[in-house]
Amino acid sequence: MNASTDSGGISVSGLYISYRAAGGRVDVVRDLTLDVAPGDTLALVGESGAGKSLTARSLLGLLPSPTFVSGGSIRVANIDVCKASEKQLQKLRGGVIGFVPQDPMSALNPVRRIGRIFDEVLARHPRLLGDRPRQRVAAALAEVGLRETLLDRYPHQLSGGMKQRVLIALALVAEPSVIVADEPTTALDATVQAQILDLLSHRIAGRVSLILITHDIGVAATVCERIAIMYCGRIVETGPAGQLLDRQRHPYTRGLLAAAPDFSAEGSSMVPIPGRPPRPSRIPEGCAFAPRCSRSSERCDSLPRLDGELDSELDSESHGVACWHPCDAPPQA
Amino acid sequence: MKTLAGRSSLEAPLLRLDDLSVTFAVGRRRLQAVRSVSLSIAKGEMYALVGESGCGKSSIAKTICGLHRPSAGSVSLLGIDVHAAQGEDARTLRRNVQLLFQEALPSLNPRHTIRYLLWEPLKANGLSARPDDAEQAMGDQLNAVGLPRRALDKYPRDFSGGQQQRIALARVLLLRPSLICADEPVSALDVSVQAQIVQLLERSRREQGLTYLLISHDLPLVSQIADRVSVMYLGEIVESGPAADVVSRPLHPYTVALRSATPVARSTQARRPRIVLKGEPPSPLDPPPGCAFHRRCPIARPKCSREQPPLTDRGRNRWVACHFAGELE
Repeated sequence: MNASTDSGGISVSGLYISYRAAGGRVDVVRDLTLDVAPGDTLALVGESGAGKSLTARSLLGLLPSPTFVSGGSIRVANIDVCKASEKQLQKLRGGVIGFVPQDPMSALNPVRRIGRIFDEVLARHPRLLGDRPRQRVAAALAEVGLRETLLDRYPHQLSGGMKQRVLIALALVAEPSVIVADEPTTALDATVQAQILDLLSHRIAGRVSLILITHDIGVAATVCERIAIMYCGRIVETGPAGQLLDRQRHPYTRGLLAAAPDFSAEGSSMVPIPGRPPRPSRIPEGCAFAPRCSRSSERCDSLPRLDGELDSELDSESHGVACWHPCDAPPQA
Repeated sequence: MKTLAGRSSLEAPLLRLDDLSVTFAVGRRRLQAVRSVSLSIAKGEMYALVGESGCGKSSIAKTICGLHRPSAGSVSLLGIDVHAAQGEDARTLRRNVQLLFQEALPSLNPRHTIRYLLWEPLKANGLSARPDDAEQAMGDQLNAVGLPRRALDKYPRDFSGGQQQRIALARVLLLRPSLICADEPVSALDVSVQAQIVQLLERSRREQGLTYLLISHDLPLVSQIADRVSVMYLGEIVESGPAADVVSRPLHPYTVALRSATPVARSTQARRPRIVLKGEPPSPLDPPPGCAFHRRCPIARPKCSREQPPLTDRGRNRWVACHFAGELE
């Protein structure tokens, strides 16, 4: 039991998510541990297939078939998600954890007015119904900068940015203590993305525990205090956002930043990382990044543990890395 | 020519848009997707069109490729009017301008081998009668984009997204076009793979003297690889000039806002105060009077809702359509 769950946080410990294939069990999330205290914000950053979305969905007990939790534990606001009954999970979803999906275009039922969609969410949580539900909806809409008149409209009458605001309001309406947002701005234009990021960082972060899933480190740093970088199902580096960006320790994190275009005039940006991630069924025993890494050695055949800088135990402030030859250590001779 | 943005070289441009407008019928209404756009692109240039959804950048690319007809103005490629060309001229043009899409997979028929998919455009353009004739060239081209020759026998689904984009590029390059219109060619790919594809685009430009029209929403990408850029808003060019210059010192308030809206993975910049625009781009079915941007503009004044600012020469190849250009930092 961890302190962060007592009052509504998230505590994931040694989580494995897997599916069964002809050759046996394939692990897509491996030994993942994270803690988000109430009011804290964490971004899970990684490329396609890193396991970040599966991790997010596992928090709600919503893993898509055929994936399942094959090890470890997930506690959200003191509920053991892996052992919870379907009834408990239904209370959890929306009531304790609000979920903001990626694609606002397909997440709203096109034949329901927005007001009716809110009613459906409220009906799932009877404890809210007695408590003047209209006012609650109005408050959630105001929180995201929308007017109540919108409740009479259909989703197709709203722009992409407005739909994403509706989805955030839907996630907030039952006053959950945790929000999980899976790539909430990826489908949006730049100026609209900026509005939603503004909303998340100024209105939502701090009030709830926020887990933001994104492939964009820039988005992560705009909204979240902490960043965890995932590669092939494992967290390879985690730390406070500013520190992690200023001083990357894992060669993969450094590679990601070097590969992304930026506004610098030096012209040396967009250096590709050679190769590509291995398939989940062919992840090496040791460090999964080693085959693409310029710093790798024989030592990388064994698995590096995620360690803090000074002591071996990680706490919420430390900057940890899972690498035998981190970038802040002298390179191999 | 009143708004020929950035005439950089004396030689005849490879591509020239003169007062191009593209209009679509939506029910009984007219949607003006592109409004009086003029620009010229020299041979070997990487020219970027930047803007958000609905700004008209993809409509321009499709019009250049002959997929839409202009409602006014003209497009000329290699000195030939794209929409008036017939017979041999039309065939030459079709081969010389090729489209590269955001996602390669939907453009690759899943039931054919890569060999057939690479050969089909050669056949359609009368360049190869049988796949065997082109075997050597197709294999070489795959190698050039970083794929092994044996990929010819595989199917599109056997490849990752980045590899599929390499195949799409190989297919386009085999036709030896003069101009490639690349519509968001890397935005569906992971960051580490994006950089690989960008390197291929740059190499093909350097080694084959190719010209690119790059359609993108990604200002950092554009500042890194494009020579010149035009920023579009609601069907019009609002700012154009040398790419690095426009992105590092934007003069139009929309370009300033777009730059400020781009999250950058540097701790010093990431949390700086940004300009967050209100609302969303207006509908092209119902464009506002005056400057199309004025309702969202942080520095708009009464003049902006009355008079549409023309694209004006600001020196050093910079053109800006704003009454108060340069006032928003």
